[in-house]
Amino acid sequence: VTLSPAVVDFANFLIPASIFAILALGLNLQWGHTGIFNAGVAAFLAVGTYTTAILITAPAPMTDQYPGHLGGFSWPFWAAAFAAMLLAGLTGLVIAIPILRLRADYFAIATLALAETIRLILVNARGLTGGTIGVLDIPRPFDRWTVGDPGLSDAYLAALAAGLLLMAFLGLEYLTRSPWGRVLRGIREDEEATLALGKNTMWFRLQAFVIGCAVMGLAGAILAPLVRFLEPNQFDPLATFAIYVMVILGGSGNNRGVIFGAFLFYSFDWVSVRVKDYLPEVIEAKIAPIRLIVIGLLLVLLVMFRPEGLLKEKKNTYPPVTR
Amino acid sequence: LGATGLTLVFAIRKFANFAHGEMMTFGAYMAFMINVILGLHLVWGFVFAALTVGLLGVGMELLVFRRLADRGAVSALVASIGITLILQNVVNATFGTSPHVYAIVHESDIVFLTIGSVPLRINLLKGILPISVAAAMILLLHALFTRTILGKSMRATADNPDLARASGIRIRNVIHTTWAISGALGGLAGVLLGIYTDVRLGLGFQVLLFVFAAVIVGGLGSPYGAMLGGLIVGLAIEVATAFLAWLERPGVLGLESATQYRPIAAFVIMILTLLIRPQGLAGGKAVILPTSSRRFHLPRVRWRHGS
Repeated sequence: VTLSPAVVDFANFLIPASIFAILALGLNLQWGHTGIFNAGVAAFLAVGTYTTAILITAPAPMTDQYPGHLGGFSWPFWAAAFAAMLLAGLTGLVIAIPILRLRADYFAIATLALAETIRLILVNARGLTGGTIGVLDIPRPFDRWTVGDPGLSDAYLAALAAGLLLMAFLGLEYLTRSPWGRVLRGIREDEEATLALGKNTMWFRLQAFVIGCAVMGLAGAILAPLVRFLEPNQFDPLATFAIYVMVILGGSGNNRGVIFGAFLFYSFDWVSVRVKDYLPEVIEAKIAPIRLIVIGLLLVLLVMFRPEGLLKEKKNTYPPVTR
Repeated sequence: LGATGLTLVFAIRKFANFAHGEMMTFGAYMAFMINVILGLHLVWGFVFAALTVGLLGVGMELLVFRRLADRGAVSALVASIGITLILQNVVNATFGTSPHVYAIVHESDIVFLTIGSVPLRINLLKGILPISVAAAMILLLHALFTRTILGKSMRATADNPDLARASGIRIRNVIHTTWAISGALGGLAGVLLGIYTDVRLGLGFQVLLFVFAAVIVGGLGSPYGAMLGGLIVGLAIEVATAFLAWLERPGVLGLESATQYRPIAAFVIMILTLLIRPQGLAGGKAVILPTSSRRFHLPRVRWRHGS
């Protein structure tokens, strides 16, 4: 099967955009719905990505250049993705138990420290992660049917990513519309009042945080086969804040909104790479920093002038109970 | 120094300024501009860095943080992250990504004390200069806080802004001065860092977490605590390095490149402080936990449905 270049192009857009959207959904559960400021998104993404990569790769021959790492389990993708979610959630649980009580800004510092710790482990625990060389030759789940056709391989992965995004969206939409989600929003608006209503707010916050982290792990499970090789520098702690832009841009607290925010944000990214060739050389050389300046500017302006985002959170009104 | 600057803004504005690290980087580059590109002595670099970063701090307050003052700590925090990205990449776009060094002579270490046969070495520029600049600044700050009207108004504003305003203190001026001092200290710290390593991107962001650790261990909002906290965090990293080097030995654990994990020691101390003594060593009654979580152990009320 040969696909038209436009389809392949679209697939190449859809995969990263879906990954960002899933990350944004996970963060939205924590920040948008519950008001937990997680500054360590990069850490949970890294845990998910490395878990998947280590579990699905085939055994690699050891050479001097590539001293090897833990791996070679050749797990099927589905099992590895499940493990990635589990492990990212578990990491979230372990870190949350001591620090979830902290106020938002201290929590942010602590999770940023976690992201830096995870990055240190990725760089230095060579036996586990391959160190700076990283994990190479990560297979894709449909490799068997797409031998010699990278376009088709991209298209299959895009379908998978979009499918997982849809699942994550439906699952989170169900959760946040349920009474459980209502408690989370109660905690965000007024934790004292929610506590006074007899809800164990810490327990709800813990649940929201861990589920959010697991969703980020799922994003990592798609990232691993997309990039095909991993190295620690892909998980810069500062990358977390791009996800914040997506959530705030789209509208925190609104699941549809944050997906829209993620796609819009990635479109900007996509276009900025595409227009590179048409720009004067002076600007072209500086495109990477300029992009980040725009992200920073966007973040500041959004917080100042439109904190509710493009798509506002819908006021959830419930029909009166009739007996 | 970095920690002291950060804690000052926290005391007045009550939010964690993530942009402080990049303010330090900015200072380091400003001094680089004066020192290398214009060819002046590095002393002028220090002066210029302190001035520009101080102004930068005031500018940030005027443009952004003043407008977010009544919107809670998290809005300001997110904005400061945005500013981090802007500053870092403005520096990147202007000066490029490759590291630079100041046009100064890096003298070799001198032996200042010999115990037995072990010479204790210290580097004039890397060892003594930061300590003396820091000590001078600390003395100056101490004088400012205790001897001048301005220092007293700063302390009053930190304690209770409304009361300070009612007593006739122009809070706005105090806030601007605080930003200026915080920025100047950050700029100086940045130049010192630039001397210690080299002038590179992310210079300040690399140490930001340690600075946060120092500030938290010492007690947020307390300048003296920040100094003490810096000392403790530095000590903890050294102790951890020795311990990790011991773990690295094949006979013990054989954990490869364990000493690379030494920054974690600072984070652990920080988190332990937050859990055990959240107000820090020198802190007063800073509110770090929301009131609700202090009452975490309240028995849960169960409602019986339908009754």
